[in-house]
Amino acid sequence: MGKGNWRNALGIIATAACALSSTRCGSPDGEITVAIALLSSEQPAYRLVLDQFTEETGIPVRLITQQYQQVREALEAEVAAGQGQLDLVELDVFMLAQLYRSVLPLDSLVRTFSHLRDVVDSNAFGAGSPPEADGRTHFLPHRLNWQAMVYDASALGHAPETWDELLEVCRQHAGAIGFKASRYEGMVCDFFPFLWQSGGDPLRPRSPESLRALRFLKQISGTLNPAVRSYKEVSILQAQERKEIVLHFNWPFIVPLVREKGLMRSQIRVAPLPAGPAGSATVLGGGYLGIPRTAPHPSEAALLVDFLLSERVQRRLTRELGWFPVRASGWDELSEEDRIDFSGYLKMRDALRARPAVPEYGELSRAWQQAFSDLLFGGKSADEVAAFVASRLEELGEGHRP
Amino acid sequence: MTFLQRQRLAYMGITAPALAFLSLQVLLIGSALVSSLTDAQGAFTTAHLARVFRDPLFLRGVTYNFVIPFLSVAMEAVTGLAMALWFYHIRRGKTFWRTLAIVPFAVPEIVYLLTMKLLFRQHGYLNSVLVASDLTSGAIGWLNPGEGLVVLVVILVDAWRVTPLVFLIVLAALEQMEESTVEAARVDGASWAQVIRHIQVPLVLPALGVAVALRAVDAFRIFATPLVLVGVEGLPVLTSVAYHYKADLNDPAGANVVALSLALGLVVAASIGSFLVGRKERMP
Amino acid sequence: MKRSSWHRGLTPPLFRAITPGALLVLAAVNLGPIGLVIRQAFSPEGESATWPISLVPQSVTVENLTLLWETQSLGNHLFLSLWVAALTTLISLALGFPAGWSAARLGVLQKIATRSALLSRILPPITIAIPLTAMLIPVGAYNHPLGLGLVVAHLTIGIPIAILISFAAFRGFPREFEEAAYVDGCSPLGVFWRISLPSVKGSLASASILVFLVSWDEFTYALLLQLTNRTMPPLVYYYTEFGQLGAASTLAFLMLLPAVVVIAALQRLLVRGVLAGGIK
Repeated sequence: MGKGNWRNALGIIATAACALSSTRCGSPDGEITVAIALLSSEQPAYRLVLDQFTEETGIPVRLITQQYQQVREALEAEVAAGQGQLDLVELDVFMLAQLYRSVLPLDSLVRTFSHLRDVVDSNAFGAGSPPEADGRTHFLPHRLNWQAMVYDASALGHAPETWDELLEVCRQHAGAIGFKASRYEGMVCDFFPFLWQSGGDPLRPRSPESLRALRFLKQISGTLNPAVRSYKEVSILQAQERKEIVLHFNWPFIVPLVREKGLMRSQIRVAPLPAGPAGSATVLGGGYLGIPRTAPHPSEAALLVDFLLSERVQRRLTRELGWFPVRASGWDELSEEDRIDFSGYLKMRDALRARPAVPEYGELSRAWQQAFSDLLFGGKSADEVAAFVASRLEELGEGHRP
Repeated sequence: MTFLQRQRLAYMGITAPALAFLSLQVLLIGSALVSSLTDAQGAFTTAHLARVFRDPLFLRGVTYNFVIPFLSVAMEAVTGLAMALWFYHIRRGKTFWRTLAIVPFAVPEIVYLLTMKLLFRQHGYLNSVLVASDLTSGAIGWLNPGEGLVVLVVILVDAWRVTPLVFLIVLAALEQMEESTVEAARVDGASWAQVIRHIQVPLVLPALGVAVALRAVDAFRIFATPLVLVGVEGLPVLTSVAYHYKADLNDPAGANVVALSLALGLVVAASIGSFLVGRKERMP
Repeated sequence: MKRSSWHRGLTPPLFRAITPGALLVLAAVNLGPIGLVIRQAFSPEGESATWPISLVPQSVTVENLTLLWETQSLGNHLFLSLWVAALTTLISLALGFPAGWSAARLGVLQKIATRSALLSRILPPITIAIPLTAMLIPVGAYNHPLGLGLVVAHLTIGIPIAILISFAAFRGFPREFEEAAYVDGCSPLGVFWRISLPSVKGSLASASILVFLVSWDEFTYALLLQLTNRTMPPLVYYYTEFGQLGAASTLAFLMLLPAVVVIAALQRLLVRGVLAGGIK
C-alpha cells in the first residue's frame, strides 16, 4: 500500500469529521432535542406522549433523559459556547432563578401563555422568576412535586398534626425520627418548611419567627436517628421500611415504591406535614421547562411546550405517569386508590411555598445546610446559626434583605 | 547542516505532536491550581482550601483513600502470587485456563462493577442464594454504608479485578526460570514448601515488586468501584469526593482542591517509591 | 523426556488433589457474574424486584433491548462509543508510534518520551477532567455530539500506550536495515514509514486493539465530559443508579461483545501488549 492511498484515506476521514462535527450526526433537519429528567421507568410512557406530538405536528423529537444537575451543566456549557443542540430543557425549580439568563422568555413564544397563566396553579406559576427578570416568565411548570410526611401507621397510630404533637412523638420515639440530613438540597427541603410554618423566611434568619423555628428544631435534634446524616430520598425510605425510623418527609415518588413492597396503608401512610404556629407549609419541587438561548429550533420547542401543558396532555401525564397535575382540572384523573394513598399530599395543595428565587440560591442553600448541620449535630444554638446565615446573606449582596 | 543533525531534527519533529499533547496535561494541572486558589474576581484566596479541608466528607475520603488501596494492593500481591505459583503447574489446557483467569481484568470496568452490584446488593444474588439455602436467616447488608463490611467488600472487589495483572506478571517471571533448577532441588530431597520459599518466591520478587508498584499508583486513583457499589457519601474516596463537588455541588474550585490534593499525594508517593527503588538498586 | 499431563514427579500432590475443584471454583467466580448480567439482561425488568431472586430467569425476553433501542436512542450511544474509540485509536497510533520510534533511536528523546508517558499514568483522570471541562466549554467541545472533547481526554491515555508499546517494539528491531536505507538517501520519515513500521505490524495490531478497548471501556472521562451525548459506560452507571438493572445489564452485555470476541481471539498478543505497557 503506497503512501498516497494512506494520505487520501486520512484526508477523507478528516474532512468527514469536520463536516459531521458542525451538524448533529445522523439527525434529520427539524428534529428537536429535549432533555427531561425522567426516571427510566417513566421513559416508555413519556416517549409515547412525544410520539403523539410528532404525529400531530410532524416534528420529530429526540428525547434525552438526564438528571437535573447534568441538564443544567449542559445548558450552561452550550450558552457559554454560544451554540448548542438542546431545544428544550427541564430543570429543577430551585435552579430557575440562577438560570433565567440562559433561556428565552416564554411569554412571547408560547401561544397559549396568557391562557396558561389563568389555569396553572398560582403558587407554581411564578416560582422561577426572580425580581431581576423584570416580570417576564422564563420557565413554565412541567410537573409539580411537594413533600408530605411519611409515617409508620403501625407504630404511631395517628399522625402528628401540629408541632406540639410532633414534639410528643419525637420524645416517645427518640432515636427513630428521620430527616434527610445529608448535606444536599434535600436537607433544606426538609427544614425550610419549619421556617415557613413559624411565619419565618429563609431570607430573614434572625427574625423572631425564624428563630422560633430553629429553636424548635434544636428541641427535637436529640431524638433523631443517628444515621440521618447519610440519608437521602431513597435511603431514608428504606430505613423506614426496615422500621428504623417512624417518620420522615418525602416526595410522591415513594408511593409506588411502597405499594410494590405491599407496605402501603398497612405499615406506611402519608399525612400532611405537622402545622406550625403560623400554619401549614411545604416546599415546592418539580420540573420546569425552558427554551435555551442557543436553541436551534426555538419556535418548534415552543410548540412542544404548548402541547405538554395542554389540558389533554396534562391529564394523560397524570393518568399514565402518576404526575401531579399542573392544571387544577388534572386532579380528576387520579384514581380512587391514588386519592387515598396520596391524601397527605393532596391536603397540602394550598400550602406550597417556593424556595427563594434569587440568583445566588446555590450559595444560600449551602449556607443553610451548614446552619442546619451545626444546629442539629454541631451543638450550636439557634442564634449562632442564624447569625451565620445572616452574615452569609450580607456577603452575597444586600438585595436579599427586604 | 550535517546529515546527523537533520536526522536528529527529524526525530524531534516527529515526536513533537505527541509530546505537545501530553504537555497539555501540565497546562491543565496549572489551570486547576489557579482555579483552586482564586475567587470569582480572580484574586488570590484560601477560602476554597478552607472550605474543603474542613469538610468531613473530604476527611473521610482521605482516610478511605489510604486504607482501601493499601489493603487492596496487599491482597492482590498475595493472591496474584499464590495464583501464579499454582498456575505454574497447570499444563493441560494452559491457554484456556489462563484466559479464564484474566477475565475480571479483561471485561470493561463498569460491566465488572455491575456484576458485583448484582451479586452484593441487598436483594441481590448472593443474599438470595444464602437465604434460599438457609445459610443465613436474613439478607446481609454487604453494601450498607457506614459499616465495616462494605469496606471489606469494596477492597475485595477492587483487588479481584486487578489480581489477574499481578498474576500474569509473576507467572511470566516464573516461567523464565529453568525447570532444571526445581528438578535438581527435588532430587536433592527438598519439599515443595521449601522449593516455593527458597527458589520460586525469591525469583519472582522483583517482578512482583514491579507489579505492585504499577498497581499501587492505580490503586490510589480508585474511583468507579466505591461510586458504583456504594455511592459518594457511603464510601468517599478523593476522586469521588472531587466528582461530587463538581457534579452535585456545582463547585469546580472545591473539586479542583480535592483533585489536586490527590494528585499531589500520588506524585509524592511515586517519588518516594522511585527513590526507594533507586536506593535498593544501588545497594550491592 | 515425555511429559505426562499433570507432570507427575515434578508436581506437588497437594496440587493434584485440589486443582480440579479449584479450577471449577475459579471458573464459577470469574464467569458466574457475567452469567448473571446476561440473565438479568434477558429477563423482564420487574424480576429484579423479586426476593429472593432466582439464578434462573422466570421468563426470557428481549424487551429490555427493544425498549432501549426505541425509547433511548441506543443506536446513538453505540455509535458514539465506537466513533470515539476508533478516532482515539487512529490518532494515538498516528502520533504515538512515530514518537516511540524516535525515542528508540535517539537517546535524548527516550527519557522525555517515557517520562511524559509515565506522567499520564500517575495523574488521576478527575484531576485532568475538571480543568479540561473549563477549557472545552468555550469552544463547544464539552458534551460534544461527536465526543470530540472526550477524544482529547482519551488521547492522554492512548498516546502513552502507543509510545510505550512502539518504543519496546522498535528497540528490538535492528538498526542495520534503517542505516542501509539512510545510506540509500531515504529521509527519516521515509525510513520510518517504509522500513521500521512494517516490521512491527504485530505491535501495531496489539496497540490498536489495546487503545480501542481502553477507550471503549473508559468510564471516568466519559462520565464527566459527556452529559447528554453519552457513550455506553456512563449509561450503564446511570441505569444502575436508578435501579433499572435489566436495562443496565443489557447495555453491559452489548459492551462485552466486542471485548470478548477480540480478547478470545488475540489473547497472546494482548498479554504481550499488556505486559509491555503495564496498563489498563
